[in-house]
Amino acid sequence: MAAVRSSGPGAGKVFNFKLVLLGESAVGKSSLVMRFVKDQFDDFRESTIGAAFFTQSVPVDDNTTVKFEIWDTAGQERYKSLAPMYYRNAQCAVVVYDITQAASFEKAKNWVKELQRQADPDIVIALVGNKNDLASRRAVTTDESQAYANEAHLLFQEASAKTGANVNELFKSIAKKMPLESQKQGQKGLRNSSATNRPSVDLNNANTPPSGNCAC
Amino acid sequence: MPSSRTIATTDASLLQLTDQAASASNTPGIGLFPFYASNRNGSKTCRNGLPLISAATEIYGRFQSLKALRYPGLCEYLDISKGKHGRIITVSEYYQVSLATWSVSTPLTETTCATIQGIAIQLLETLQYLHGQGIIVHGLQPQDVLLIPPSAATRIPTVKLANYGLYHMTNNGYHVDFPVGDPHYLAPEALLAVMERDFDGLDAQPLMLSAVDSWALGVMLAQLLTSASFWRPAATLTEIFTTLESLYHLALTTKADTITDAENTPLPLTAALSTSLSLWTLMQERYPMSALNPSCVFYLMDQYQSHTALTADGTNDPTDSALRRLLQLVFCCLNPNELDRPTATDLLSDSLVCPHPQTYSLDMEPDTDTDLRCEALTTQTKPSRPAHTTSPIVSLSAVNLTVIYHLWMVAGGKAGKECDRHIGQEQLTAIQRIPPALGMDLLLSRDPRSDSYSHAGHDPSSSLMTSAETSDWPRSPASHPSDDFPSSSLDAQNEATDYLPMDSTMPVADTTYLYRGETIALPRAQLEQFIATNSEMHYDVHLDHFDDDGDVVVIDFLAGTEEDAESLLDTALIVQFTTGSKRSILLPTSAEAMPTPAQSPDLKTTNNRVTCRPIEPKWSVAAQLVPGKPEPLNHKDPSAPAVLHSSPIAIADMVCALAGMTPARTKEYQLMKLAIRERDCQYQLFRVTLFQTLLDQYPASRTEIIKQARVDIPPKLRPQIWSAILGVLRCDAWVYHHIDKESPSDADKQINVDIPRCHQYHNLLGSSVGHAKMRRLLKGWLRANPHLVYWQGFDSVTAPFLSLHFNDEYQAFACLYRFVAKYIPRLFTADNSQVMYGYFAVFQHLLTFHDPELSSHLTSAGFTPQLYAMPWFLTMFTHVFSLEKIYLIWDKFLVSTKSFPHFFGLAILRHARAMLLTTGFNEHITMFTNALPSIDVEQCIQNAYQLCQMTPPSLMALPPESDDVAPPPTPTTATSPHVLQPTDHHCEAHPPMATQHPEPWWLTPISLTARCAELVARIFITDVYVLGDLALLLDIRSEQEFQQEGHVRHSIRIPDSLLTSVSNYLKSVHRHYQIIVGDDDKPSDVERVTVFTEQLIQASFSHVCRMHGGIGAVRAAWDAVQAQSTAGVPTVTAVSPWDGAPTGNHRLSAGSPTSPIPPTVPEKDFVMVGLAEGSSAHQARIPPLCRCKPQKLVLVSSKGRAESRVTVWQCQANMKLTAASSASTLASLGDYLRNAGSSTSLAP
Repeated sequence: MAAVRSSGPGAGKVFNFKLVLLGESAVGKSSLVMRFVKDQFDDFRESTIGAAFFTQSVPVDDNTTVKFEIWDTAGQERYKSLAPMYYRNAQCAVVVYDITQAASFEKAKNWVKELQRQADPDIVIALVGNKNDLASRRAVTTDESQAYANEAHLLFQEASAKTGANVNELFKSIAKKMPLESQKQGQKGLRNSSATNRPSVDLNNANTPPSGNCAC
Repeated sequence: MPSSRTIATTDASLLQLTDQAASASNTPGIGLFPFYASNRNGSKTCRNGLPLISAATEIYGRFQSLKALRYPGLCEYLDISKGKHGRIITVSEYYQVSLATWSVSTPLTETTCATIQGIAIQLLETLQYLHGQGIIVHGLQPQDVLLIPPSAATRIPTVKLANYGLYHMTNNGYHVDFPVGDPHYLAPEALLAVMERDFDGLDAQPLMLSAVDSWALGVMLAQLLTSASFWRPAATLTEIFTTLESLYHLALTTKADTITDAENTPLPLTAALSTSLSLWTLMQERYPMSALNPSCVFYLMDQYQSHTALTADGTNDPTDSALRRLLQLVFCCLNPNELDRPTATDLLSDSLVCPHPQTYSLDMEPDTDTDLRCEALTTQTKPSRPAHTTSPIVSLSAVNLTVIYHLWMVAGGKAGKECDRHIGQEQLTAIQRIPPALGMDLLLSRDPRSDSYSHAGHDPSSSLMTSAETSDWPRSPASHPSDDFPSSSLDAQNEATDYLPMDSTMPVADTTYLYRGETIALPRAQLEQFIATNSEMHYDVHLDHFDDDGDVVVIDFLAGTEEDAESLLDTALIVQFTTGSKRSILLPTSAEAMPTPAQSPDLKTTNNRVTCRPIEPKWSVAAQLVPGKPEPLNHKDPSAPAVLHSSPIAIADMVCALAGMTPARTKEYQLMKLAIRERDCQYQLFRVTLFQTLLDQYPASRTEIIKQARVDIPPKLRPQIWSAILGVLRCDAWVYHHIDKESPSDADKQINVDIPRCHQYHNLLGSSVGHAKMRRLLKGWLRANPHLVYWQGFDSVTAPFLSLHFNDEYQAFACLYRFVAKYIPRLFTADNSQVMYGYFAVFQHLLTFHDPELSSHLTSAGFTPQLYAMPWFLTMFTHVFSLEKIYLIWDKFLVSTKSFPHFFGLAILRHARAMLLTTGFNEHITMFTNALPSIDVEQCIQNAYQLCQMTPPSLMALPPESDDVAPPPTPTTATSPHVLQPTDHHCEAHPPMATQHPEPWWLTPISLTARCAELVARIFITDVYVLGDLALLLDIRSEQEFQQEGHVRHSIRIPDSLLTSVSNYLKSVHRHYQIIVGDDDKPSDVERVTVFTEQLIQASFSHVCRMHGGIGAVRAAWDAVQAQSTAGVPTVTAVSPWDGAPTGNHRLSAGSPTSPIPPTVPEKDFVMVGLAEGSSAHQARIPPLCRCKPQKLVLVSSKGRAESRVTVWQCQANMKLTAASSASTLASLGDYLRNAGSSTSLAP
């Protein structure tokens, strides 16, 4: 499922996976990515419009590295029609909610449903309760989320982008869950053009306007 | 202690003031007032997990409304700056003399009494105004009551109150860790509240009645009248506190009595007075050893009682009555019970204390200094003055304090640096910034030597006693040296710092360093000196032009944009073709069009011209339409009355001439980088003066403002200039006030999470005040645009307008409304995907048009505009850059075509070209989602401008929305701001006539689907004609069709066999635009066009496009012209573009790719003129006729526009000939146009 790239002698294998972040507005998707990619936290992170892109590698073991190509999407409901463009060929998804906002948990459940219905059937989905540092204002219990995650077969983690708690653990656990072995045999070339290592963003989705082939 | 108080007749006190205050005291300087904001909020978070807004930012936001206050008795606040460790410096108007440094001589005279009464009444009026604005001073004290020495006529000094906003901007003292107000002047209830305040608590916000200010006034007046301090000189703070507590207790316990007393007396003030007097008598009896100075208030009490007795005897000495009134005022103010104490309004409305208020009241006319005026303009235009005076109109002395302050900052002045210089570097350690852990009551019980209240002493001498000598309070109004600015305060600081407990376990009690209470004065002369010495010209001429691959050829497609209706005569000159020289890139049109003295050789001519010019009807109409508009220019000077009636252009001419802006100097400035221009005092002063002159005549001057704004916009006046460009009219403000901005709506949830994330680094937008304003703006805009919705990112679009018009929500709203309506009208619909993808398609074509290599590379990498350009267009780059950069970018957006953002985006891509060409998708996308803010914005703007000039407008035509999308309903309900719709002539954003003439099919953009499917953009036939022989028309039809059906003259037929190999060949022809023509009705031709364009793009031909409609469009357009001329349009005789019998030279023979192609097309014998898309008749551009020496004129256009255009041209040419006969090029144009009717017609 992932593109394999040999990166230097002895350095082991690098597997590329496309990861998409989904969730309600202001739950901290961009902050989670920033913490993961740059180990930074910005109190006043500007809202994301359209989507933003990042890459970050996670060593899985001595000779295997997983490189995530992360699409961080806009949270507002209006941008929802763009989401399929980003999750269509994603191998993993992180669905984020805010533990202090019960509504964001409901929205997260909807995202999970949509992914399970429309995304790649083998997609690895992680449910993340962000803002764990605000435990005193918690509105969604860990048990409730854990129960839902078990039921829907999701990875589950409560994390805090602000303190950094569980952020790296989250991505590491996703990396470990990725089907590295099957990829080695080179099955399932999800990439449309085999030579490029770019993450494919599907512009021909039915939900997007007829612009996919624009000037290509 | 004053011993003798007999009445004398000398008025030495006034003389003293007059002497002491030289003329310098009359001119306002600048006062810097530093203090530290609380850092309590540092680590706390609010409900949504975001950190609490810092106190410094909150103060910054609350301060802004103070800047808008205008009252004769107030020192105008100019600015606020936020430094390290939460240091705040407020900047305001300032005068040297204050009540603290001024004293009356004893004994009291009649004149002295009158003077004191005059001061008192002015203060009362000022307080009344402030209270009316919801502002309580709370910290009123003599140091802040500034005095302008009286003129001979008035004999009463003018009172200017300073530092009145500390209590307001700190949200009643909440945002600072020190108490606001000098305890010596604080009313009992205020001091008690301050003492009880828990400085660590979050909710303690003592809210005071406006009567606290009356008490302070009473104390000050008592001190003035007795020349003694109100409190015993040796009184400690504890003693003062105890005394006031006793007094307050007394007032509360005897309240029952006073009520019965009050019932006996009809006048409330009389009641307040008698209560007060009885309380003070009680006080004197019960607490003879209080901290009160017996020679002050008790002495006055005796005086009052003896005067009352005298009056009862029937004696009516005028001095007595004046003194008695003053004493009544004092005791009314000194009523210990805040509920009984009258407010400023009460006092002013009662004859008991204020006999003839009109005698002292200042008229509400803003004085010349509070409003920027070019006073000198009219005086300087006297013919007697030489025209070449170095800088008469823009001399520093002619501008007001706000401009001086602005220039001072331009010249490098910094408030923080000045404060450091005066006070000494603040050496705040982290420990020192720990907020006081203990309440004031605890502090009071400690050693008085560390009494934290000492910092509230307000002059240098009391700062000195920070920790050591608090118990000794040396307050004697007469004892202050007059203008002793703190030379010794450095020592004070050191002393204070030494004393500070460095052990973090100890409660930090001394907050002296948080608030020094002293104002650092910068006299105007000093500011002007600073500006003069720091404003030398920078001559680093910047010639870094956009470097195209080949020779640069420019048709300025910007020259005739819609805003140009009236300034056309100037901009038409700019339509010029400059071939063969890299250096000949056009400057922005206005650079050339800038009026210079060259057009009016000397000043005298200017005056003559101005005087002769008739009153323009539009101006008189405009003057009537805007009620209350100030006269544009001071017309006291009878020598220049006609200035009033001159047009805005003439005014601009004059300002340029008077400022000594010769063409050469103008040019010099134009070549400088904007950043350098913005730091050049002389230039800024000139620009500010010029724009202010024009703004005074807005809206009549709108066109000229736009023209000048194309050069650059001085930051000082950016808010007003933006409003003017967008056509905002002040008289429509009521519309905004009637919009419902509060009711809940669906978007609230999203708005509430977005606002605290929107440009929060900005001091204004990051404050609570800013959040509230932003919320109102967004909700108001949604309410006013029922057909539009809130998209994330719209908050960023609002941000520039809000930050510029922070104190005027209507202006911010109107700008936003008009901006969205004009630039991004369809992007905020519920389903904007069609529109958004239309933008992307146009952008992709634009990229291919200008940089085919980059376009191919990015396309093959999969890096499409959808992935990176959405925030660009949706938010007009506001989500991408910081506000400071946005200002620069939008400065150009606002005065350019609507498609300018596309060019800016293209410039960004080209800026990163080298990197993009050598890397892959991941690097591209990472750079464009993360590192974009670091690009050189000014360079990109410049490049974008040049790209824009080279691009035919028809390439930018956005695809029409699909038919099933209903057009947005025009708001018609009563709540809709129909006034905001551009309706009047000056504020035309969308000419209504555009809808009256539906465009013919060959001028209608193709659909989005079709557009996305094509590799290159389509050009309309009108633009083909404009391009003239800069373009090479490549005809791909068969030879038979080419010859038999006719072809466009000078076009070249490309046979099938050469479609894939002709590129080398075309390079030798060396044209700048390649236009491909086929027969669009034939599928085979369409396919050939596609193949051919791919070839050209692959060969990196830039500026390739295809003719929209192909040969059919040429035919149809020609038919339309024919139909028109047969319909009897007499003005123009048309010439066909057809060439029925092409010469062999123009064709390629199939078998010989090396066969000669003429390197140049024979000189044209006619000129074809296309009408630019969307332009209406009166905005027509004059084509570059002069260069072509044309014989005939062809107009290609839809019906009804060609003839009007020629008429317009003729009118313009005639006008220009009379107005500026030196423009020989236009003269020949005029001649040509007059003869155009006689040319012959050639049938196809």
